[in-house]
Amino acid sequence: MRFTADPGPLAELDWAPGEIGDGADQRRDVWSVEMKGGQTPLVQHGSERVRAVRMVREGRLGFAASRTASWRQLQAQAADAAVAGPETKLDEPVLAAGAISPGVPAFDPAMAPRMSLVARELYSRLEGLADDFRPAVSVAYHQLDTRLMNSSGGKAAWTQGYFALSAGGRRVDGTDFHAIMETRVGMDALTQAGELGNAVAERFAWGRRIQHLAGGRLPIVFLPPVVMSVLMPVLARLSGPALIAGNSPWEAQVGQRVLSPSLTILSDATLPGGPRTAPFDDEGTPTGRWPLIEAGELRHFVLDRDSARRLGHAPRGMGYRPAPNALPAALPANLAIEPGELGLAEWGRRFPRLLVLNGWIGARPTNPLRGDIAGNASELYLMDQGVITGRIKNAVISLNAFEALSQQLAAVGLDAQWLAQGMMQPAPGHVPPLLIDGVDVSMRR
Amino acid sequence: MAGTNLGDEGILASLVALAANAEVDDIEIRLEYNETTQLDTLNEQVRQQTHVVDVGGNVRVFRQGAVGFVHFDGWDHIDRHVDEAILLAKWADPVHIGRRLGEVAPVRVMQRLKTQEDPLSVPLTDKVALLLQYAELARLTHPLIKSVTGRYFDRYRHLWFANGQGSAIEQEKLDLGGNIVVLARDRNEVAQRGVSFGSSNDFAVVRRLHGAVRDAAMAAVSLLQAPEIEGGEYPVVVDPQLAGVFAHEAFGHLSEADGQVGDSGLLAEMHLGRNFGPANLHIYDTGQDLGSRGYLPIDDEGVPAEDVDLIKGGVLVGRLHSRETAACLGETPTGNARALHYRFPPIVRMRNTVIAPGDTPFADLFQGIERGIYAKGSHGGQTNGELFTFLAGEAYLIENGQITRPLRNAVLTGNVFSTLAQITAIGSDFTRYEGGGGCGKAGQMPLPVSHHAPSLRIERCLVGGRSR
Repeated sequence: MRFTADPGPLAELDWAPGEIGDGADQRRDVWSVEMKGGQTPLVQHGSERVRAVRMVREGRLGFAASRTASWRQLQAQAADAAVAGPETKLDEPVLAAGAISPGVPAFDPAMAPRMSLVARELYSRLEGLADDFRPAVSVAYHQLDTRLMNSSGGKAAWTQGYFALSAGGRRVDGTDFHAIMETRVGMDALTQAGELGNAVAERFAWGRRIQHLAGGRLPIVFLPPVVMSVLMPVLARLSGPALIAGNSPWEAQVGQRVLSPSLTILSDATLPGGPRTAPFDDEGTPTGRWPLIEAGELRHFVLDRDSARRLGHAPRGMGYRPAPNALPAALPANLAIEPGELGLAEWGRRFPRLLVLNGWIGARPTNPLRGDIAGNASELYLMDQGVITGRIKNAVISLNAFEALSQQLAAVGLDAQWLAQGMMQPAPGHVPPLLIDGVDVSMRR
Repeated sequence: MAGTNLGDEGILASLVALAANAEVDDIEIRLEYNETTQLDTLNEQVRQQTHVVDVGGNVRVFRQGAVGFVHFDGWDHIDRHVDEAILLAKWADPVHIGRRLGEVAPVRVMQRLKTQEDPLSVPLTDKVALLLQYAELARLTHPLIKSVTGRYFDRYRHLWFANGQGSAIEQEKLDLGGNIVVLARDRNEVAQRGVSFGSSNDFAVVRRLHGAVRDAAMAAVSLLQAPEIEGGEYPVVVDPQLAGVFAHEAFGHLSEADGQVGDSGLLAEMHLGRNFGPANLHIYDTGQDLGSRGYLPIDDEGVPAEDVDLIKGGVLVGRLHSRETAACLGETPTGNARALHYRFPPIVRMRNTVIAPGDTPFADLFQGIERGIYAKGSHGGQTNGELFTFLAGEAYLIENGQITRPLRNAVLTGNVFSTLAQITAIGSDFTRYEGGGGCGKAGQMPLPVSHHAPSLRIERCLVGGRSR
């Protein structure tokens, strides 16, 4: 019994007159080095090559994906699936024949020893923070090669790639856990290893002292990793499926103010070094820099080609596969917030007392469209008179995302940071800190 | 394809030969054939239906204190993948030369599926019809039900595994699950409630959801005008579903030994024999519960499942292990090394995490509560070891021992170490709940797990929510 991973050339796809569809051939490679206290260092290389065919027949969508089937087999499977498939308005973008966009250069596996060295040096640095600090370091390179061909004869090919460098660890003292994790993403992430180590060391120092707090309604600086939690309900209201289902309260609010005028949120495929920085989305639609919310006003929804056509909008390149063998769905490219003008230090001078939040356990809304979020603050620091004075424990932070990003938003920070997509985050982010006033903080006794 | 002629003995024999000839400290080679069907519906329409076949494998080698891991699609040139895994291990900069893996006797077994109603024999049209029927039922239940989404999946896996210890294992696995999510809307107010289902051997669980869908529709409508919970500490009664999530999030993850090795502070805190809860608290993890989504008779390192007592008599008595963590702590592998599929190395995971039943009747759990919360169902949870958060599906105010009115946005949080000690009553209403979600860890999500439990009463649980 043998299964081959070579399906033959994409050009084998053969479209009958009037048929609509496309074939996508995506190869993902990830090289990574992982080191964690007490565990054996792990070096891995994973390679996936997924072929997918979409076909529209009589207004119904058929889809087939495989890692081993030939293009002809896939096309036949997609045709079979279309018989009972969902109704669709999918069309195909017109692509200049052979639109080749090389994107980033292909990864050189000879880089792996250097990645290993960077991981080892960072690990050693973090081991030195304290005898009982358990370091964790990961260095990875992600590469995605896409070739696409559609029924209108359009072709496109491009390569995306980025390094992701994560460092942090945990110190357990009795039943107190102080866990830190920082990430840098981009083509130049390896050069940021020193700065990353400093950031982890600084946060470790911030947390050595425990401070006490009475709770109440307080101004909180949401650092980038937790900003993404606040953005998820916004994404839910903007997304095509929620609009088509009639579930989004924003369905008729284009051009109206829905969030704070100091907030501009974008789907941006042009930001250098981003995980979804590319000339096309996963459907072959040309991408760009599209404001979703501009100065608080609703400008564009997050729509793939099918939902765009159903709702009468032009597709803007926001169709991405949530998983390699899944259909493209309505998702933003890189979800970005346009940075403001001030940073943490300046905010600290303006507010005599601030909280700084970087870890928020379970901060997912029970109902994304409504936007209520509450979660344990797992990494929360107290800033008094512009100086971090220690870590706050036993706090639960609660807010409504829409109120927080409208009436309560006090300022947008200066320094945006890349965040890779993950288990709970369907799109990569490039977001600055947000200062949100009057946030509810409940304390355990 | 499932259950047909993939049982080619030559596959295992070639893997065994490759493993035996590799010049490494240990090696595992895995091949998989995976077939997945997924359906998504919105109201009376199919939104997505996919049938995907994944074929591939991985090689993991242990060499001089480092691990090299390669995963690949297709089954071509496995010998080259072995060479690449060895090369990767050489690139690592080992910090623990001489580390060993826990010893396990070689396992040679061929394990076939044992299904009741086999989902692979149910036509796709029947699966679609069921989801659409539930959508119609929910919408007929109340006019404020504006949309119903349905999700169904089944996943058949056929695995071949060989390691350097001489194990040769062929296994078939099945996992199915999904949910029906009902959304009520009244002008700008929206509320949702879901029904979740899962099994590892019986499609019939999908056929028995009518009552639950009706209840979910009514619950969603009742939540529309429900006030938000006022944040603060309350006595809380949680139903069996939420109690299971509590066991998983609040304690199960802390018991995973890969989070403990190399952490002197945590190992000191998690020493066996430590008192962790009331004397009638018994929490264990099992892979032997046929039909549950956590059923795992042999783990992904080829280790047969053990029932692992974690807390017994309120005392910490065990932890969950892979071969590596067991060797590191001088304990025995427990069969808890799991990989989502061939594109991941196995890590320590739970299977079916169980709170054994207590002896308090359900009604008695509420006795003496002047003002508290009754929380039902779950939208999931998260932990960092010390802290946990879980999102209840529904919540109701308890006043003077009686459930009085619904509340929204119930997020229960706490400190693992102190909250287990706050369990003051364990219900006699033990329930084998099986949901259609899964557990996420280290990027591997959703891994099929189960949690079976009775209702619990917990004193002084911090509930998130905005103040008035």
